[in-house]
Amino acid sequence: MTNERHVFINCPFDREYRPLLRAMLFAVYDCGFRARSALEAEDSGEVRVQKIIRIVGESALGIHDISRVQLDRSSNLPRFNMPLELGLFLGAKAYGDADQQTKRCLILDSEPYRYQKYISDIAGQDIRAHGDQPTTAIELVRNWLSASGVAREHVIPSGSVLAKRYRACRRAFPKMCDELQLDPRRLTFTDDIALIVAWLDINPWAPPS
Amino acid sequence: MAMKVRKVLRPIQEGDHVTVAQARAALLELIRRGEVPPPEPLPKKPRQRKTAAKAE
Repeated sequence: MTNERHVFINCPFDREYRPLLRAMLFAVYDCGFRARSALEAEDSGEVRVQKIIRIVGESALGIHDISRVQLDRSSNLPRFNMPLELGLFLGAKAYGDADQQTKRCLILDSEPYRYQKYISDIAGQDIRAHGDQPTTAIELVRNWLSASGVAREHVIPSGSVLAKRYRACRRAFPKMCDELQLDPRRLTFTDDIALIVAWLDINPWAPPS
Repeated sequence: MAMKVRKVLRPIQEGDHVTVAQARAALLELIRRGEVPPPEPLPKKPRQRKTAAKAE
């Protein structure tokens, strides 16, 4: 059974990509949704692909960043995890039951139309370019989520407003890390979410409904 | 040097993930000490889409 507010996050999780990931996580939570990822819980008893399949099955929405096409510095090989997980998501939507068929996804790349050169079969999906800019990523995520059925009750502030809020949240991060004795360079996916959710809880843009 | 008093539910240890409750407590403490700005005032009414308001 999918949850209409759960957003499967399929993107690189390395340090280089972290600014974009944080910005997208912020946008997801500030729009009233919840981010899901294989990194949300470390259960060594669950095979990773099974965990991803379970989370994909539980998420009505998915954000897939396929921009990481460079060769890995250490192995000199490309990484295929993002296209694989996008395929799982599209497969669930195509072959799943009526609930799964309501899935929606946003596909991101760094440059417009670049995907046509390396994964042209996804043409026709909702593909947008973030230009490696966190502010653009926030706006894209906000605009996409605001069109979903569950977000139609309220007007979600514009992407520029969310980006301003994100900058305020980021300014608080170093002090929050210091207070919690966390190394800001070694925050995990769940650490990032906890800090973001705590900041949003204290800095809402609308009173709780 | 005096030890810093930590208003978190449980001290965070190596390998722990911070919880929302711990992060929230830390942020409230920073706001109380004036190290982080307090939240901006909220709009008086929750903003609703016109169509939703009409339907009511």
